[in-house]
Amino acid sequence: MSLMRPKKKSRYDPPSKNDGNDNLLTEDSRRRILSFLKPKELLTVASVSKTWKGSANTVAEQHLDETKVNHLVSNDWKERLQAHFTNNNKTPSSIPARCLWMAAQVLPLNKFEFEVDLTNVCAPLDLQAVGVPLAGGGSAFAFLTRDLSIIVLDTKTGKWTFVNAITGDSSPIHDMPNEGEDECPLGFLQICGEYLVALFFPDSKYSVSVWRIGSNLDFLHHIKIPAQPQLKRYPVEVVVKEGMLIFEYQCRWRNGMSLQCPPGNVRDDHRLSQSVMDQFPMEKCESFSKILRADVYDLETGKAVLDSIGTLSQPSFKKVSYSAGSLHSSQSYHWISEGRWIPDKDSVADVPKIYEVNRYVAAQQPLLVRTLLPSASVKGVYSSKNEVFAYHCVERAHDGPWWEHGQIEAFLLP
Amino acid sequence: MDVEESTINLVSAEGDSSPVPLSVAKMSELVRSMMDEEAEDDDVKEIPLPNVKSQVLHKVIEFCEHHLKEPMTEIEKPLKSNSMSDVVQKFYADFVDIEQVLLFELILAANYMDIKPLLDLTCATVASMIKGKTPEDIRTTFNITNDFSPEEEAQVREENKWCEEA
Repeated sequence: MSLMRPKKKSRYDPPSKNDGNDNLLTEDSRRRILSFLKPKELLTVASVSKTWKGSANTVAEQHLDETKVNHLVSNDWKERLQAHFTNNNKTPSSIPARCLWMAAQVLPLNKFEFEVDLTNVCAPLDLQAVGVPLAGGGSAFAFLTRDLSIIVLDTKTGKWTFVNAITGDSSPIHDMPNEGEDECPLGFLQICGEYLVALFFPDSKYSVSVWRIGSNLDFLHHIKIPAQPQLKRYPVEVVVKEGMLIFEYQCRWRNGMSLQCPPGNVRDDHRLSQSVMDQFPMEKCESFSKILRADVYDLETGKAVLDSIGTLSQPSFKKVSYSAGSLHSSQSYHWISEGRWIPDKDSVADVPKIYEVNRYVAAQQPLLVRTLLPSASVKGVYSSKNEVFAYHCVERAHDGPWWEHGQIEAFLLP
Repeated sequence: MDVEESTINLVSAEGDSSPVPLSVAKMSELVRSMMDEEAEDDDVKEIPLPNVKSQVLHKVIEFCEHHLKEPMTEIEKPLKSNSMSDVVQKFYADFVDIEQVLLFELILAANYMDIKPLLDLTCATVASMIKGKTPEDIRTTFNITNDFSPEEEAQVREENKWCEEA
C-alpha cells in the first residue's frame, strides 16, 4: 500500500468555515495589511464587509497626515477641499484623502521642483468636475484625474508626463505644440470632465489642444483661434464649462461712440451705427464699456459654436422681453443654466425661436451671455455686471451690416 | 563567554522551550525590552510568550535566524505585484507560502513580539492576496461574510462610482 503524502495547504486555500479566517486579525493588523494597497484597491476592499470598509477608510485617512499633505497641498487648498466636500454633504475625508494619498504615493516629489502654493496654479481644477490638482507653481503643474492618473507639466522644459497612478507607469505626452521650447507657451491648463484643455499663445496667436482623459491621454484636436488684432492681446477670461471652451475678449470703445467687434461677429470692420448708439443711453456707457466678445468651441468636436451669429436669415421682430424667473443667480456664482429669452406677444406670429441663454462667468467679471440658438434676430446677448443686454435688429438692411437698424435693450438681473 | 553567543529560551503557549541566540531573540522588541527590564537579574534564561503557539514560534525563530544572515529587502508601498517573489527574496517568498491560518497567526505573533520585518512580510503577503481581486474573490479567499444589506451594498457602489467610472 502506498502512502499518499497529503497536499500541502496553500495560503490561497480558503479556510474551512470554522477556521480563524479574518477574525484572527486585529484592527491594527488589518490596517497594516491595507497600508500595502493602492487607493483603488482600498475601494475594492471597502466593498467586502463592514469591518474591512472601516479599516480601508481609516487607512485612506491616515495618509492625509500633515507631513505628506503639506508637501503637496497648501493650507488654502486644503480648506477649499474641506469646504467643497462639506458643502456637498460628502464625507470630507473620503475622496480627497484617497486622491491625496495617491499623490503622495505615486508622485515623486524630487522629480520636479514643486512649489507648494497652489494659488499659483493657473487654472484651478473644477472639483465638482473631476479631480484634485496636486501641486503647482513656478516650475510644474500636476493634476490628478478621476481615473487616478496624474498629468504633470514641467513648465521649464515644456515636457508633459502622464502617470498612471495605478501601475505607476509614466510616459511622455506627445502632440503638444511647441514641446521643448525654452519658454513654455502654456497660458491655460484645465481639466474639465473627461477633457484636458491647454491653451498656448506663441507669437500672439492662440491655440488650444484638447485631450480625452482615460487610462491614457488621447489627443482629440488642436483648435486654432482666429487672430483678433482689435482685441486685447489676451482673452479676458477662458472658461471651460459643460463641454464648451469659451474665450472672452474685451472690446473697446473707439472714438467715444463706435463699438468694435459686436458680440459673436468676427469681422473687423463692423461698427455700431449712430442710430444704434443713440438708442443706447449714455448713462450706461461706463457700465457698457466692457463688452465681451466670445469664441465658444465644442470640446468634443473642436468646432466653433457661435460663429454663425452674424449670418441671419430669420425674420426680425421688434422686441424681446425677459421672461421673469428664468434668469437667476446663486450666491457665489452667477450661473444661469437655462435662462430663456422669449419673444413677447407683440412679436407677431412668425417670431422664430426661444433663445436659450447661458451665462458663464463669475460675478466679479463682466458677464457673458451666449445664445444657443443664434439663427434669429437677436445678434448677441451680453451683459455687464447686473445688466443683461439684448442686441437685435428691427430691419435688416440689404447691403449694410445687420445691425444697421439695430436696437439694444438692457435688462436688470434679479 | 561571548554575550552574543549566549542563548535564551523562548517559551511558547504550550510551554515548549526553544533555545535561541540572543542576537536572534533580540530581533523582537518585546523580548529586548523584557530583557532590558530584567537586566539586573543575571538569571534571566527564559522569556514566556503565552500568546504564541509552538508551531508559530518555530516559524518566527526561523525568520529571525535567516534575517540576520540575509536581511529582507524593504517592501515597497504600495505593493508592485501580487506575487511575493517579485517583492522579496526567494527565502522570504517561500517562507510565507503557508496555510492561511498560520499566516494570520504569524501576523499576530509578529505584532505581539514586535518584529517589524516579519510583520511587514506577513501583512504584505495578505495584501498580495487581496490585490487585483474583486470583493467577492476576497470574501471567498478569506471566508468573509458579506454583512452589507442590499441597500448598503448599493450605497457602497454609489460611493465608489467616482472611481470606477473613469
